[in-house]
This record gives sequence, structure tokens and C-alpha cells, in this order.
Amino acid sequence: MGFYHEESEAADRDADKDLALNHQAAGELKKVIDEIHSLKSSKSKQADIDELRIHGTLQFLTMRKLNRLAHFRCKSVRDSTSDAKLKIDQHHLKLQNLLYEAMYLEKEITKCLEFKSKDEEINLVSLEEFHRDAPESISRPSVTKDDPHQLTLARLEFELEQRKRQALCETHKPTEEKKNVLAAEIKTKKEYLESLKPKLQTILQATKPVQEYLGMPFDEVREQHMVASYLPRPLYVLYMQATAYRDACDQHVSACILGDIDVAKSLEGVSQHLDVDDDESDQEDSEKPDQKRRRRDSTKDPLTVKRQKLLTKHPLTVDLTVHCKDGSSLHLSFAYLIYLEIVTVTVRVDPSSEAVKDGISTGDLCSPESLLKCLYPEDLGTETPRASNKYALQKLGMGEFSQYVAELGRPYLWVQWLCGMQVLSVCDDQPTGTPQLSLSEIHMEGTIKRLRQRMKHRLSLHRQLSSLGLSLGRTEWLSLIRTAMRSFLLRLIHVWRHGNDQRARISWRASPFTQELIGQGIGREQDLFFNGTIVNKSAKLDFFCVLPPNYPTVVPLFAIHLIWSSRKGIANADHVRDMAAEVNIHFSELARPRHSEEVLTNQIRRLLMCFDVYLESEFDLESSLGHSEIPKEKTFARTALGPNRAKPFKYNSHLGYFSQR
Amino acid sequence: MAGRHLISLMSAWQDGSIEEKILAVRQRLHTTVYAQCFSPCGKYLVTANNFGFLAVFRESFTQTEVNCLKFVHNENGSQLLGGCGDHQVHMWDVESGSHVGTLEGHTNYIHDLAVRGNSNECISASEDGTVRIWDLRSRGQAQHVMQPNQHNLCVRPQYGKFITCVAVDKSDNLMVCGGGPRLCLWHLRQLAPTAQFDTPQATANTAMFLEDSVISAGTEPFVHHWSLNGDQRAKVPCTPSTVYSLATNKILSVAGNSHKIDICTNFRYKAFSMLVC
Repeated sequence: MGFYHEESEAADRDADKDLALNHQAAGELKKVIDEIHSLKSSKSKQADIDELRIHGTLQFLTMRKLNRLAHFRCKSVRDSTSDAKLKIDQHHLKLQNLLYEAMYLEKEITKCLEFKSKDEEINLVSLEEFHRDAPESISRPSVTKDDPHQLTLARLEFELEQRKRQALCETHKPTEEKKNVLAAEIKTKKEYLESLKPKLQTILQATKPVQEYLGMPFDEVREQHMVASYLPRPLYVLYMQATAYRDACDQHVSACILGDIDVAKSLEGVSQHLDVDDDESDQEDSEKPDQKRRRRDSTKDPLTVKRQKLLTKHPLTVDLTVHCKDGSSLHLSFAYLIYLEIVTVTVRVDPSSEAVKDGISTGDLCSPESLLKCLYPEDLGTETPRASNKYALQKLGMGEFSQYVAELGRPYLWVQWLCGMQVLSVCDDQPTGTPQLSLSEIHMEGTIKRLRQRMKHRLSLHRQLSSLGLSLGRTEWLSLIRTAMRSFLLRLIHVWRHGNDQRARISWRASPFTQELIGQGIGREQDLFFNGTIVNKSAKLDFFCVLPPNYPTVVPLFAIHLIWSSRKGIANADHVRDMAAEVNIHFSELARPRHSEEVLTNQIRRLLMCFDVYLESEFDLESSLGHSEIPKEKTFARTALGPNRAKPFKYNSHLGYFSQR
Repeated sequence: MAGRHLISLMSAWQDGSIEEKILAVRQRLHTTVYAQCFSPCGKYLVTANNFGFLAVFRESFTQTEVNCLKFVHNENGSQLLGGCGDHQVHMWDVESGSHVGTLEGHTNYIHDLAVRGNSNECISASEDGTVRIWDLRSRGQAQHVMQPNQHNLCVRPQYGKFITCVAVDKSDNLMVCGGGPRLCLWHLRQLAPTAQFDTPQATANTAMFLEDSVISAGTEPFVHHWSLNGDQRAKVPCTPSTVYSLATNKILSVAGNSHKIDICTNFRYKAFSMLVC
């Protein structure tokens, strides 16, 4: 508090007055000291001296006080000085910054001023010329009038435009010249060709007798090609691909076009006419052409005419003949159903002379219905592959397409493929108008191969079956089975006689011992059936054979039944079952590899063998009882094995003995 | 070996050609189930058919087929008895897996085995027409040889003399056996047949005691239930035309020459069938 007081006191008081006060006090003090000195030397009274000393001390105090104040003052002056100094420093710094900035800006400005643009080197047209010549779109006077920058841009653009034009002009001329030269060349060539035509015709005329003499079919081919142009598109694709395939790969395939060309010509006009009609009705409703046609028919014509119309074939057919190595051949006749838009095939087999001797041509095995079934898996050719046809047939109350198969031919899927038509069985109606060549190309070779194979297998199957009836001992097939047979084939229903397949099929369904197999879905519509009987003394073995259409890829299945009059009811059903397993499952044993055509013979042979083994082993067990109807001839290690007392049906062809499986 | 076979069958179904698939279907048509067994916990039933499954012991213990396996536990430890195709009963120690002996005497292969209640004797039935009782401790010749086809009650010359099945009841007094001869109940102390269970059209393949009745089945599609005095209690139709195996575990399962196994929950009728493959 005192400190603060003194500080403010120092500020309040005048410094000069204090200085005067100080001088006065110092003078007083000096005077006092002198007086005291004089008094001391005069040896005056102590009281005077004391009085003077008090006075002197007072002066001293005053000086002290003044000294203090002087110090305070000095301090406050120093403070204010340093404050002022700081302020000056700050201002100085700011000044420096501003100076530097100004210098930088100046530098930039000079840099900009010194920049040289490229356009300054380009010689532009003068301003007047520009305003006069430049089109409005480039000059844009509204913008460029006030803006020199835009003006320059516009002038540059104009310059570019003009230079481009110049360059084009330069190339134009030589091109024109070139064109003229080419035109002239074309003209001379045309003249040459035109002069050639009558010459060629005369040559052709002249060669005609030679052609006829040599039997060369150039003209015939030409005619066929001419006729081909009247073929409906799918058959055309087929014909083209077939001839191409013949020329390129396979001389033993031939294709030709049959039918009435005039009718085809007239039909072409008619069908166009029909199309026109359709177009008119298109404006009334937008349904499918099939249905439209039918609807119109139904209003104009009686039902039968309409039905016939729906099944109309195109008058031209393509005939494909596939020749096999053994001299037999397969004739396929492809027809196009105009309104159903599908292709059907009818087949005929021309057997070789040897086969004719065996009576093959009349058999069920090579019948047109069954021959081509399942050429591709599940392709039966009874249903129309186009779903819309079903609706068309239903609408006219014509039932299933399969009823008409005999008269129209079979619409197998592969036939549609060969004709380039991709038919999806469920979701139908791909655009039908554009058969694809590539599709036909993909399937042509494979299908021809399959046709050949099917033909070969059927004929071999037929030979096997017919030889089964005559002699089972044809040694070349049986080289692996060297044991003598006692059982013999008593009766084989001749499947190659017409209708026997149907009879066998009915008895297959009725037989008690086939019921389990039928329950398992064996023996479908497309399979062929035959049955037979094997006998040995009083024992009899009835068998059914289910012959799949794609034999021998799928091996025939046997169902067998044992009847033994002298030992009724004794037979163990399991042994019969084992016999069937032997032929149905282990058919590949004892067969020569890569001789798939012998499969059926081998199976029947095996069945005979197993039957022999069965009977012999049965009697072998009983031989102790004293009577033996059938002597034991075959060698087997054991007569029974396992809980089911299995018989030794497995034949070891190297060592010649029988053993259990 | 069996496993490989099964896998090849499976793969044929998955990615095989059409021929392999057809072959697999055909194998199913000709499937025969030879044996079956319940696991101790009662949750599993193991079956074996002619294409897929083989007995585990076949490869390691014998060179011939094993037609029947029985488990014996007596003072000598646990033993496994196998009735084999080499006319002998083989014995294996279960702990070590080693072959400990054979019972020789039959002249044809063994069809079935039964173990008596004291676990020291076993009974074998053979293709040679004899039923023999063996002492497992002495392992010599058979103690008794029975020939069912010598008894008037059993003989059926038209079927042969082979015995396919034998079983012993809990009281250890009664035995049932049959095959070519009629299925008969034998008294073990007298060693003579006391009652016949006649199936004129069929030979028995398997028989077992269940409480106070006998259950049997054979070469006809029926399971027979008999009372001990020879009366027929029930004749239950089943799927396989020849039954090879019966097994019980509160329910009765019937297996034979079919790819289906019948399950009878109530013993007196077929409840449902299970597919083997």
C-alpha cells in the first residue's frame, strides 16, 4: 500500500521542484555540518549541537525521501520507453512484408507481359476480310464485337476451316481420276463377259451329245439345283447340307429331290397369296399365323377339308440314301408339312441280296416304325416336336399327332436338326422362318454315322436271331465257350415275322414272372420283345427278351422262368434269379472284346450254359439219393456256396471249370 | 474292396455313361441281401448285399467265405466264431485278433452257428446234412452229431439234406434247425426232434427264438410265427421272395433277395420297407 502510494506520489509531484528541494536540503545539511564543526571547535554547549544535529537529521530524511521518489520515476520512464520500442518493431515488420509482396506482384506482371502466344505467328486474314467472308456461325458478331479475345478465337477458327477445305480440295482430284479409270476398266470387262455368254452357250449345246454319250450328269445336277430352289427352306437346307456332305466326306450317301415340280411352282404362288391374306387379317387380330389360317378355314370350309389341309405335305420331298458296306441301303424320304412347319421322315430298307435270302426285309426288326426309334436318346418320333402343333390339332379335334404318323412319316428331333430347325420341345416358337445352316452342319455327320450303325446292328441282330433258330454252334461266335451244351433252344418266337413283336409284348405284360420288372419300369413302348423256350429233358426254361431300340448300346434284358414238371415246386427261385443276373449283368464276360454285335447270341448261349449248370448241379446234390436224370458233365469246384446255396454259374474259360460268383 | 465297389457304383450314377447307368439299374434288380446286424446301441442296422458289402473278417482271417459269425464270452475271454466255406468253424480271439483254433469234422460248408447258454458249447449246421455240438474248451471232435434227415419227423428227400439254420432258446433246452429237412424243434438233452414246423413249399433259411415262439423264413415270401408245440401262429407276407436274414431289436427286420428291407414294428404285419441301394 505504501509502495503504491509512493509510486503515485512520485507521479504526482513535480520533479524539478523536488530537485530544488534536494538542493535546498543539501545546502541546509552542509550549513548544519559547518555550524556543528564550528561549534565543536569552539567547544560550545552540547545542547546547541544536539539541536543542530536533529535539524541535520531531518534534512537527511528529506533527501532520502526524494531519492526514493527519483528511483520510482526513473523506473516508470524506462518502462514507457521499452513499450514504444516494441511498437516500432512491429510496424517495421509489417512494412517489410508489404514490400516483399509488392515486389512479387511486380515480377508476375512482367512475366505475363512477356508471354508469347502461338497464334501471333499465324497470319490471319485482316479484320475487314474476316467480317466480310466468315460465315455467321463462326464470326458471331454479337459476341466478337466487344470482346477482342472472342474475336481472335473466331478468326482462328475461320482460319482452320479454310485450311481444311484446302486440303480436301487437294485430295479430291486424284481420287476423281482414279474413279474414272476404274469405271472404264469395269466397262471393258463387262463387254468382254457379255461377249462370252453366247460363246459358252454354243459350247454347252455342242457338248450335250458328248454328255449324253458319257452319262455325265452335269445337266441333271443343274436341274436338281434348279428344282432345289423350289424346295421349302428347311428341306433346302437339308438338301444342301446332304450334298455338301456327300461331296466332301462320304461317297456312299446320295440325295435327290422327288416330286411334282409344277405343283411346287404353283404352290409357291398360292402360299404367297395366302400370306397376303394373312397380312390383311393381321390388321384385325394379331394371333399366330397358324391359328389365323385355321380360323379362316373353319368359317369357309367343311371340317374335313380343313383337317386335311393342316396335314398337307409339300409336293417336293428330299430322298436321302445311305449305303452300307454289305450292300444294303437305307432310304430316308423327308417331307415338309407346310402348315405344321415340321419335317417328317419315312424310311425304307433295301437289304442286300444275302439279306433278302434270309427274309430280313419283312421283319419287325427293320420295320419303318421301329428302325429309327431312339437314334438319339428318348427320340421316339411319335410326338410332334413343335408344341404349337398340339394346340392346332386339338382345336380341330384331331387328337394326338401319333395317329397320323403312319401316313405322314415320323417327325424325329434329329430330322428337324438336319433341316436346320432348332425346335425346343417345351418352350416353342423360335422364329421358324430361318433354318440355320450351322445347326444342320453340326448334326449331319453324326446322324449319318448313327444311321449306318443302327442299320448295321439291326441287320446283325437279325442274322443272330435267324442263326439262333438254325444252329447255335456257329463256332466263330463261341470261341470263348468251349464246353458242350445239353440244353437246346426249342423254340424262338420269330421276331422278324410281322406282328410277333406285339404278341410277345402282350404275353410279357400278362406273365406272372415279369411283373416285378414291369413294376421297375422295364419294357417300354419303344422296346422290342421276343420270347423263347429252352429245354433239357423234363426241365423247361421260358424266357422273355426285352430288346432296346438302341441295341447294342443298351444290352437286351432277359426275364426267365423255370418249369420243371418232374420236380414241381422245388425250384429255388433265387437260382433262377442268379441265372438272369448272369446274362443281364455279366454279359460282357466270355464275349470277344469289340464284338458288340454278338451280344445277343452270347447272352442266349450263356443262358443255355447256366441252365445246364443249374440242372447238373441240382442232380449232383441228389446223386446220393440214387436217381439222376441228367448226368454231370461239367467241372465245378463246389455245387453250393453261401446262404442262398448259389450255383457255379461263372465259367472260367482258361481252366474250363465253373465257380460261384 | 467292398468300399471301392460301392464308390464305383455311386460314381457310375453321377457321371457314368448310359451303359454304366443301365448296369447299375440291373444290379439293383438282382440284389440279394445276405446278412444284417444291429449295433449294440440299437441305432444302426448293418446289411450286406451280393454286390456291395463284404464281411470285415473275410480278408484278414480266412481264405474262404464266412457264412455265419457268432460272439462268445466265457472264462477263456471273448471269442469270435465263424462258420466258413472250408467245412470248418474258425475261432478268433477278439482282443488280439489272432486265430485260436478250428472245429473240424463237417464234410461240407457251414451254414449257421448257435451258441448255448453256458457259452462253452456251440452248435453248427452244415450243407452236409449234419448238426454238430462242439465243446469250445476241448476243441476236439464234435460231442454229438445229429442228422435230421434220418428222423421221420424231419425228412424230405425231394429237397435234400442240407441244414441252413440253427438256433437255441434261452433256457438252453431247446434247439430249432432246418433246411432241406423240415424245420423242427429239438430237445437238446434227448437229442431228438419233438415238434415240426412244416412249410411244404419252401425250405427254411433262417429261424430264431423270440420269447415263447419261433420265427422262421425261407424260400417263400412269408415270415412264419410258430408256437413251441408246432402250431402256426401267423404267416406274415413280406417283399423278398426268398428271405435270408431276420433280425430283432423291438422291431423285426426282414432281408432277402430284394433291394428292399421290410420292417415290422408289430411283428404281425409289414409296416414299411427300406431301400438298400
